[in-house]
Amino acid sequence: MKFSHQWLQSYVSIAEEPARVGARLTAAGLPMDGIETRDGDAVYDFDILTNRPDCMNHLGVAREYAALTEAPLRPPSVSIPAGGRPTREVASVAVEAPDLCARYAARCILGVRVGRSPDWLRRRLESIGQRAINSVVDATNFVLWELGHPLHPFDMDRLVGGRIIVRRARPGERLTTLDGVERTLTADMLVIADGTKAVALAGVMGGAASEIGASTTNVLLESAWFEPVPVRRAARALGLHTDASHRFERGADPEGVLTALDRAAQIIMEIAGGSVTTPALDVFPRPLPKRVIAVRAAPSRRWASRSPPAGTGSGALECRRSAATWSAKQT
Amino acid sequence: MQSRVHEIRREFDRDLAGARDPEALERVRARYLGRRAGLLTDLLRDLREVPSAGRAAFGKAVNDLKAHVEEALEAAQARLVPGSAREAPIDLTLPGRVQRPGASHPITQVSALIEEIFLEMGYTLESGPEVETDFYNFEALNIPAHHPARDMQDTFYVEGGLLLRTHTSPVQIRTMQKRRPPVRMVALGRVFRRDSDITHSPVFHQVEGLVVAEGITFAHLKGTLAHFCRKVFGKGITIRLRPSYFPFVEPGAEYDISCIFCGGSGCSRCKGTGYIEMGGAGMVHPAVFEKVGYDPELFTGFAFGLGIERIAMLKHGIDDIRLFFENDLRFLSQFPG
Repeated sequence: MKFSHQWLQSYVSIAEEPARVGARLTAAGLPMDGIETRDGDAVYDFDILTNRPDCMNHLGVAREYAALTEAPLRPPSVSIPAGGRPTREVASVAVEAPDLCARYAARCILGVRVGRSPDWLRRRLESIGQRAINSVVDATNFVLWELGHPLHPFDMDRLVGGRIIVRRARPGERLTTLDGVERTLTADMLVIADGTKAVALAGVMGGAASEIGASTTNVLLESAWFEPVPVRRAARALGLHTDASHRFERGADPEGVLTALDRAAQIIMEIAGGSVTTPALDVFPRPLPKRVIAVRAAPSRRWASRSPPAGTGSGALECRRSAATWSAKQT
Repeated sequence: MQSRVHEIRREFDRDLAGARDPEALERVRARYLGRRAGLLTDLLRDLREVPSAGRAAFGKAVNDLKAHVEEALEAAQARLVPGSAREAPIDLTLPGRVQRPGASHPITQVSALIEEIFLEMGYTLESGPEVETDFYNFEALNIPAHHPARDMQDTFYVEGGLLLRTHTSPVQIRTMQKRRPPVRMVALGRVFRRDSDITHSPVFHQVEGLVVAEGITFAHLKGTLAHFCRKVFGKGITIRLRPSYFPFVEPGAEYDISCIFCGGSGCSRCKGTGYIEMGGAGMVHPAVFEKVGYDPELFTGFAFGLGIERIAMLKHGIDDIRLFFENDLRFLSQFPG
């Protein structure tokens, strides 16, 4: 997975040479496969293992680096202007399969002008080998690589009744995905549907019919949490492995849903204009209990032949918690 | 003299035509080729009486006749003696067939070396079935139900909910179920995955090691791996441990050896890193101890694994794993062991 040195630097100060950064992170469990220089930026290739979905994005890797060097972490500031039109006046969300979708949040950005993204955004995406497409799509991809939460933008005017229904696919139901392939779905797959038909394969890929294009003026932005195993099964069954499915399969952060939604809405408004509806719709039919992980010093003392200096463990956790608190996730 | 040759030839042809059974044929053979009174034998003996001017021509005529006689007798033999028709003539001048000594397969040789190293350190040698249950191959090793390793794409499932083991780690579980700590074991054996290319074979061999006792630490693991790698690749080898993730160990690591091709300065074989990946290792996960009824508060342990083909490939500079399984003698005979 590719990471840009300059991009990481927007969240944490890095004084070291890229090679040293790579070695430090390798020794901390993010093995580096390679490093290359591109347009004056160093691009790392880290092999992020399945147990670390939290590091499949720049802020996550910056958080590790901050903890290792005790440098402060600077997460992006996210704010949405109040006083927009209420989202529920223009759209609705119903989760009919709460066992497969624990949370579904949405906001609309009304009156956008979709076009080419500004250079800073194109540069960010291109530095890690991603293709810039258009301002709205680029904003959601940027947030995926920044915060790690997959988002999906719909052309809202293509959604019948502005409705979002999260349900199981009907046996044999068809959906043409963004890659232009018509897929035949099975009843164990989760889809996002509007009032009449499936418009996206949940957690895997959007549908071509509601794709954001030059003519799009109203955007419905999805930020959700899907159950990992069914996403993986659906992706496997259809032979579709995407950046979104890769993350949902390994477990996205249910508490990061709103932050990612707002961050993308903020960027879209900034680069494509329009006004953001507020408050967001946030359907959370199945609250996921916060997991408390007890960290005990005794087992690690027994595994290591000597005790680490007092405070090392808690110090490392506190460094990471500065970010964890921000995303409301308890470490 | 030449006319004598022709005469004998005519006589022979007549006699042979008259021979209707194997005994008669034998009599014809004796009359012409017999050692003592054979007509041809006599003729050859007469050769030295021939004046040297005509000797070469006469010798050639006699030899031609002899060839004709032998050929005709053989043809008649094939006709008259049942069962002799298809047999190739025996050429007694060919060199004999040498019984070439066999040798162990290179994988067997490397396995024996590994076994020896661990037996020396007091490990026991354990084994387990190649057809395993889900419990031993996955569940007891803390591999959750949805883990990608369980996919149909990677595992050969057989009838009755059984599968071909994908690693030798099930032997850890079977051994711990049988025994109380201290445990110090290695298991070598075949494992199976649905994967086939230049570095992956659907069948390959692994070594699994497990040590459990009170007070086992990560330092023991590191020391053991370093000792092992030096025994296999030589004294100058250093090892490096990198944090990694395997569900059945915590903390988990991958271990590398300093590049055996460039000594660590960076080359194409180690992709410039100075290190070559060897295998996975770590401290046994408490959840694994709970599955086998060991008290995780009392015992700690380490486990490690590696591919035997990988060691053989590094030791012998082989770049295609499939060579081990093709049983081509041109390849195998290069490892006389």
